[in-house]
Amino acid sequence: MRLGEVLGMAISDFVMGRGGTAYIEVVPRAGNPNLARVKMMRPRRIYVSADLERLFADYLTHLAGRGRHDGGELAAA
Amino acid sequence: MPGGAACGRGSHLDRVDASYATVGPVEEWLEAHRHLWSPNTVRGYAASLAQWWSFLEQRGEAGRWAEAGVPAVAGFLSWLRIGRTVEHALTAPSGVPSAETLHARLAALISFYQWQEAVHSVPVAGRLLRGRAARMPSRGLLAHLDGRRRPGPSSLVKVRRRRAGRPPLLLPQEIQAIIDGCATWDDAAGEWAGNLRDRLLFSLLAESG
Repeated sequence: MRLGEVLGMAISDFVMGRGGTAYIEVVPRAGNPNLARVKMMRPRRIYVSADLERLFADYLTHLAGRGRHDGGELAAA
Repeated sequence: MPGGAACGRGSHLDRVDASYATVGPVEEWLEAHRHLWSPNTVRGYAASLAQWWSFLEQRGEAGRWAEAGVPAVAGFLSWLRIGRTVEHALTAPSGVPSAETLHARLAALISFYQWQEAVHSVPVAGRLLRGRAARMPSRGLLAHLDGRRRPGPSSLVKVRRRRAGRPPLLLPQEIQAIIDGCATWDDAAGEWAGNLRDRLLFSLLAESG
């Protein structure tokens, strides 16, 4: 994956495996707040391992926990 | 810089000639590609064309930009190479540009004139390019693919470039050290210690290549 693709990723772009292989949908977006830009604005799909999927799930848990601590809500991704 | 236009980083300042007038043909070409190209490409091309224009102005040929030929472009490259001695400098003088920079300048120029030829029938691109590629890439067993696509024209003016070296490589244990440096699983606390977002970012990059 390119750095611009990772940095412009939204949480909903990560599609959990649900029995199959998890994948990331690279969605080119113009005007990301961090100026991340997908090269050539070309969408693609990248399959990832179960380990990475687990790490992502942990990250979501971590985000949810932090959201609770801050008393705020998770931004809709 | 007496009489020169200060060249800012902003994309609109890059195409200003010595009389502070925006260069129309360049502006039009960049505008047409602004949402097709990456912002960095637009900025680089604008800088290249600004330098081409100051070169033409120095020779008093800015009005005849549509009549340039191979000698002018070759002169432009050596002017960039040996240092620009201009009173009306558009861009701040810096060190001698690398071959990669010169190549990018040339590419911008060719793109500009190809577009001008297609849209306004400016007859410069045909003078700068010849009908076939200088060297066919070796494709081995994929040679049949050559029949599908005609090789594009190549430039008569050339920049000799060094062979790019191999990209630097991280060993698996180095990659693991980076990932572990972001966050590690803390057995005692039962949670991740460190920045989990960074770990996810680098794991993602490491895994997907």
